[in-house]
Amino acid sequence: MLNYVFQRLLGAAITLLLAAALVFGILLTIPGDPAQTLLGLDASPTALAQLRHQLGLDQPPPLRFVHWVTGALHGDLNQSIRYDAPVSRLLRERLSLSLPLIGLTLVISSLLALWLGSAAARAAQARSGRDTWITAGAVLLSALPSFWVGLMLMLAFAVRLHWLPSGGFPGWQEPGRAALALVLPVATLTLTRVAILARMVRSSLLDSLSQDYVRTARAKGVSERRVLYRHALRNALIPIVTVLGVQFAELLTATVIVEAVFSLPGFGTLILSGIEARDYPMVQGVVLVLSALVVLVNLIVDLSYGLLDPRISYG
Amino acid sequence: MANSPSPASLEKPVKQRRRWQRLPPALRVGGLLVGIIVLMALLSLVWLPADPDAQDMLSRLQAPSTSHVLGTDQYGRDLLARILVGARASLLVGTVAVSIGLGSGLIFGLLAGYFGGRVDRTIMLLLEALYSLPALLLAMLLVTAWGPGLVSAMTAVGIAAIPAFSRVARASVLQVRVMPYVEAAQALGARQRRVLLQHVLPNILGPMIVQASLTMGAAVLIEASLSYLGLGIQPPAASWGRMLRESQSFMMLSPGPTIFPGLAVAAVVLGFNLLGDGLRDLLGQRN
Amino acid sequence: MISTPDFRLSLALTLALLGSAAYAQEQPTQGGRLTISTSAEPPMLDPTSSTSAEISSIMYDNVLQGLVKIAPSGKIEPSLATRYQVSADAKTYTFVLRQGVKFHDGSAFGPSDVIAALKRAMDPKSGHTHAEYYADMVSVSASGPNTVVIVLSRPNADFLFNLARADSVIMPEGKTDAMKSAPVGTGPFKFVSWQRGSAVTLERNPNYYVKTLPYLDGVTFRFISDPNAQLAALRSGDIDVIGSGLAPENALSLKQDSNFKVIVGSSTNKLTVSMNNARAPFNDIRVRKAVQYAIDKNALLQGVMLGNGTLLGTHRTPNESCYYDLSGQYKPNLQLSRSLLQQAGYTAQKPLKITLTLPSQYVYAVRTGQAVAAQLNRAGIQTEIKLVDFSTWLKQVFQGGDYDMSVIGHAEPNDIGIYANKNYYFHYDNQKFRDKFEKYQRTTNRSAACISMRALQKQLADDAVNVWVQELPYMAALKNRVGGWWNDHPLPSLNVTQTYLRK
Repeated sequence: MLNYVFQRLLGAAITLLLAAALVFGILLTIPGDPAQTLLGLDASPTALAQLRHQLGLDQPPPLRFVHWVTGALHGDLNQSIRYDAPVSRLLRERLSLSLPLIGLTLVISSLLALWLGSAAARAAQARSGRDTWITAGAVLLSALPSFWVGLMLMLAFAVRLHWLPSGGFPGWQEPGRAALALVLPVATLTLTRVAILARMVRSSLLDSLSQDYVRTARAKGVSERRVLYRHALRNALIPIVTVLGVQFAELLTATVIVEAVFSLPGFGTLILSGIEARDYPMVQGVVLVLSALVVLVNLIVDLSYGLLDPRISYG
Repeated sequence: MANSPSPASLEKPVKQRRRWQRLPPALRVGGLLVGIIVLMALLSLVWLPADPDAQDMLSRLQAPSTSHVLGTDQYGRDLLARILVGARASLLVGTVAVSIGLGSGLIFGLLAGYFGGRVDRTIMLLLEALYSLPALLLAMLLVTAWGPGLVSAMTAVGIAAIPAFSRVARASVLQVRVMPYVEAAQALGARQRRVLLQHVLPNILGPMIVQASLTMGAAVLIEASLSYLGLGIQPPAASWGRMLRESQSFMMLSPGPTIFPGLAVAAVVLGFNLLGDGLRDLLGQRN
Repeated sequence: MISTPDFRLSLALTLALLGSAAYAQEQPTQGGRLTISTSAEPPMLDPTSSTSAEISSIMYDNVLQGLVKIAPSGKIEPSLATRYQVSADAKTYTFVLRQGVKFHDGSAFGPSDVIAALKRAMDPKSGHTHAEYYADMVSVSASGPNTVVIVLSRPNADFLFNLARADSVIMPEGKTDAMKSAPVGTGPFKFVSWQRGSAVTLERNPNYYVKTLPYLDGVTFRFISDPNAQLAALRSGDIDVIGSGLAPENALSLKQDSNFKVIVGSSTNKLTVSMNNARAPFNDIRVRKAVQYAIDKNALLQGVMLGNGTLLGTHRTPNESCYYDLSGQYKPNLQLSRSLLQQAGYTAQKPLKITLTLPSQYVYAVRTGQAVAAQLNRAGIQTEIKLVDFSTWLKQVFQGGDYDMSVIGHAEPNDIGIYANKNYYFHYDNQKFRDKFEKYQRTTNRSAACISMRALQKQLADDAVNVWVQELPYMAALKNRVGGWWNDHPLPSLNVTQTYLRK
């Protein structure tokens, strides 16, 4: 087991290094000069040259990459050009918004999906029309662009009804208002994520319900609810967790867009403004952390199979 | 779908209908939706209700009426005409992106799955790195580097789709490789290229087609997102994502220009998702 | 209801007059916190190290002050200097400093701070972004405990104005580097925090030298670029003021709402359709003139800005001194435009094809650009739009000069001198203009300088360097409770020094 984890972590490290190199390479080809972006339209050429030197932009690119990698290995993600502050500090600030946003979405959409999916599965077994409705609704929802769902929710609940703020984030110093500010973004992400999960829950539940051990349990007189939740669901969790893992990267993508729609200062808007300002260290830092999150979540998913299904072992 | 020369068309009409009905419902609905959108895109090539780029500041943001079926946008342009033209752009980006993803994915997947060992490890490592970057983010970086526009959007979305295609291809190859007919061909001393192209490739096309349909939906969505973020197709050319971005601030005055393009995106994505699901059911695969 | 229209009109007038009288006499109330939205986040907070207008918007006069400042009327007024004197030869400026002033960090303000700030400003290697403003300075020195003397090598008509710009604010000696993210000044508000990506917070300076100011306890500037989000934030009470970037369509819907007041004031922002004068086709004045005649500025003003703003004809707004109205010089005339194009060698068979590069971050530029492209296409000039983000724009258009035509607002006040620099991205290269500009700069007699300034404006219009569409008006929306807000903006400044909240 430990050996397996070690191997995976090593693989992950190489993956991340390659991803970072890829991003660095692409960034190099983007036209633009962070110094000019920072100093503005009519800044004097001497001031520009000076800033470029100060930022190390006059060094050859491979050297810059090596500097960056050695820094990152020591936990130093360098200084943001745009904000003149350590990237790691900026990221911490932004993650204090984005992680709750993603976490809440994961929890709420998983619970909703379990509820809706099992309702649909039960309805399917009973050959009830409810199954068709839930499934059709899920299929429809999963096709909606997240930014459009966000806009529509904003139109309804913020612009027309004035129930919720339309965007922005007051900071966690005001927990009440901060929570309110997250309602619509979480709802947007959940609405577009829950559908795929619910369909997964439904189909894997139906799968499990047709298995022998479920039939045995039924024959022994175990109640239908218990069959569903104790026996079938446990087995259905494996494909669900897999989907959660695969979905994670997509959830990050959706988060970037939803943050843009609701003007939330999370990592998504950080990376957007980083690309805009040609803030190379910042973009690289954020992408590194995002990639690391994706790799980490997939590792956890792989390891959780062993917990969910004792038959799987890691030699 | 209907006019392709399938065996069904040779049989009697009654039976034909039954065949159609026996198809998975997802396939039927999906096929219908995709068919409608393709027809819309084709229609836009020969007929449009109005010039989609003609501005008329005096009739801005009009509600749907007989002269403008879906109303007008903030420049007084006919919304229906722009949505029709947008369908063209959306399908074009999707098709080219999927072709790029499918083509490269096939090559990588075939090589990795068939040869295994070091080739497999190297390819998968590279793809893993690509895959660990969220697709939209990768596309955003690429488009910013190449300058926004139709071609960069298509290529970027295509590149972002490569890892998923490669995974599917590789997994299928691994299944097919141990099949008796492949092993037999190898045992008979067939050249590797021949084995790959004649025996392996045809047998993994099924899953690839399913993946293509599903990716088509995702590609349309990414293109819309890119355009929404201002990185896709350039104005005045109509693109649904850009239409949403530009009409967003007029949402209070007239919601039409914000609602209809969103519905159009949803219809395309829905159509291809259903089509993919249906094909999967038809081809008897499980995910 | 029997009332003649005339009667109603006069009644309305009377009420309006009464209203304004009451407003003028109103006693500002103390206390309260104000939240203001701005449309973009500043790249840093030190206006001497970056030219971004967003910095000046938040910091100028509120936190950071110079020897003199620009009042809403455009007049130059004393600030950290209580009075100043210019010698007869216009080469020696003597400033008497305000006494007992303390910086926000508690240190005392004195001549050494002024000298350090101006010495840094005149040194091109110091990182100051506008060292050329101070190029004529020979020396700056103290004369007595509270007097500073500046000596110029030659007279400069703009020197005092330059000292009133945000580029000339005085910060404590020797702490320049820290100013980028934590500025320390002498203004009525002190800087508290900059939450990257969301807001800048200021707090009342209890030791401000004008004892009655400021009225507010604190101010928060929140960055909201999306016009839609601004509107929703104002309506839901999250913010009190849309301070900048208010979209004209939102102004329209807010005007109908009695809870809010919409301000459409003057600015110094010149909405410019710029042309690359250095290369074909726009190195040919006939083509540039054809473009002037092809563009219907009034249609742009009505269609894009919904009627807000003033038409321009040269690189100056009515808000800047010595303005010359040349907006009627080129009236839309497609026939004339076509014949000019024909003379230049472009016909229907061989049409003129150009690329219009637009900075995508600026909504007004993208909107104007789309409408301009439609107008040019109608006139037979095939125009292709290329949207790029602002950094690419800076690199390709502004630095590289690799473009045909672009659209952007030039917000900097009194900036006609950019046309004297042939490397500036218009690449306008005219020795006559440069001579005239030199003459203007060296004229210290006000009315003589004005004549030169008018000649400069006329020269630009005659050469059809760019299409100056309109002044982009300063547009804002306030809750009715907010009082003491600047209507007109002679420089980018969301000045809250005298703003208050009615109870």
